[in-house]
Amino acid sequence: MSSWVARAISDVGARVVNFVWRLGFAARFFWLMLRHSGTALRRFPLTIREIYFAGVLSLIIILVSGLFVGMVLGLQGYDTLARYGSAEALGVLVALSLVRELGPVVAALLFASRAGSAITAEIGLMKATEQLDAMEMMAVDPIARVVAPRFWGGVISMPLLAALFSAMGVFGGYLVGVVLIGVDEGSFWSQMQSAVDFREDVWNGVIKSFVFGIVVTWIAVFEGYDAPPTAEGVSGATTRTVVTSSLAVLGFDFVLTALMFRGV
Amino acid sequence: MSFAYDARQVLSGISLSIPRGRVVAIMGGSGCGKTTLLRLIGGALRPTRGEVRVFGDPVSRMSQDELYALRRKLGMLFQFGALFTDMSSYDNVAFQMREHTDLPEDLIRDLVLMKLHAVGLRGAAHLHPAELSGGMARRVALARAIALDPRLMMYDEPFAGLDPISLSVIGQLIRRLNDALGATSIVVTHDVMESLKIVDYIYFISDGRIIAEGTPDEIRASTMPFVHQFVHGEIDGPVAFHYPARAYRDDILGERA
Repeated sequence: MSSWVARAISDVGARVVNFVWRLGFAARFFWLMLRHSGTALRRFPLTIREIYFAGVLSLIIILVSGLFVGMVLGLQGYDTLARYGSAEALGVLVALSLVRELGPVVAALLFASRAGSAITAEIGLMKATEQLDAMEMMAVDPIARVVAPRFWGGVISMPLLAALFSAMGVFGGYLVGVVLIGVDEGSFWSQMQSAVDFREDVWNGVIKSFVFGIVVTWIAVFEGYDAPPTAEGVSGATTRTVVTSSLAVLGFDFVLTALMFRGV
Repeated sequence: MSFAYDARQVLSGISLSIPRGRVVAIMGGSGCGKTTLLRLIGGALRPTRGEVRVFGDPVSRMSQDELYALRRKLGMLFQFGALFTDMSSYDNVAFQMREHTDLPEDLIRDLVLMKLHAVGLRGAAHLHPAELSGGMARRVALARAIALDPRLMMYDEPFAGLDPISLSVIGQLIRRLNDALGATSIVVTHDVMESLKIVDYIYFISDGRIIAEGTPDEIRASTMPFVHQFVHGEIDGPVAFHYPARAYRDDILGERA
């Protein structure tokens, strides 16, 4: 019995030590990545290539999801607002929900599963097939040449994808609310225009998506770089990227929302 | 020089020097520390005791910048080539030239084609690693390794998994390129027959120590049990066929463990 307890305690201890060690390594890795960002930003075509892979190739899933989320918002929002005789406020509801919350958060979750997992798998496989070692032996730092451009590619793509998600969502809400249900078009747009504040709502949404871009891409490149160089290791790292970054996005969303929209 | 991964001693008291211009083989069974030795020479690992000197400079005491400056003079062929899978053969060979030099693109083109021609694959310049056979990938990786005319070439198991023709081609390329570039080569391998044809000197490593050395003729004539077993591929000898276990009779007829 006592040996079982001792083993359980030592197991928990080992996990905690491992967690703290990884956290420290991830922080150091983040610092190294920033320090070596010069190459990624000076040789911008390297980063543009990653913007294409992380951003442009995620467009389909982002645009289609944005459209459907907006259409659902239009339906649900109309149903609720009509009960209180304020169906013309549908535009405000759809736009605020999207630019403040759903745009940044859902786009980040989709980005984590579409682009984050791909980044982890690619870097992990490069490590498993000794491509990163080969680069080191050629006196080229893989953090500067491989990791930093992918990081900045993700960070730049994320706010743009979130903005496109929100725009498609507003269009989806318009299709359902105005075209399908028949809410007055003038009220839909004018109320949206007067109630949505650029600095308070749109800009805060952009800040959120920028933070999510940093968090998701950081986790993705770190998991890939730290993946054990085996098929099992890379698959585990890819799964961890999606799970950890999704949880981190939701956690950070709460914190940022609490900081940004207190008492508004 | 000695090296240990945490508590596991990999190399203990290795002492060897490789003169300029020679092709030297480091041989030994799988897991004997051959690849670790290459990593120590390239500065990817640091010895736990002793010192590694390349071109007279101590690698183990170098800063990151000094290490990178040294590596520009080294070339390494990895076991399975380690080609960048998102680039064509051409771009793989051009990689170091673009990273480390300001050469104009048309000059880089000529140099890349010359390197690929040296390994017989100028016609495969546009192919991606996934479209190359194992032997071809190894040759492209070789062209990439010699891109900046290194003074020291390191080969990690260059013959592993190759058919007899590719094996012979790689063997001859190692020798010819070494002589043409005036370089020095270290070939880590367990392929005895091919190595004996091309190298000048051989070191045998077992259990982290050098247990035999000599020219190919001396190695062929050696009566030392380990070398004899290794060169002739005998299944039992100093390197036992059976992993240590309790007596067979006890395992079969005795009590269950």
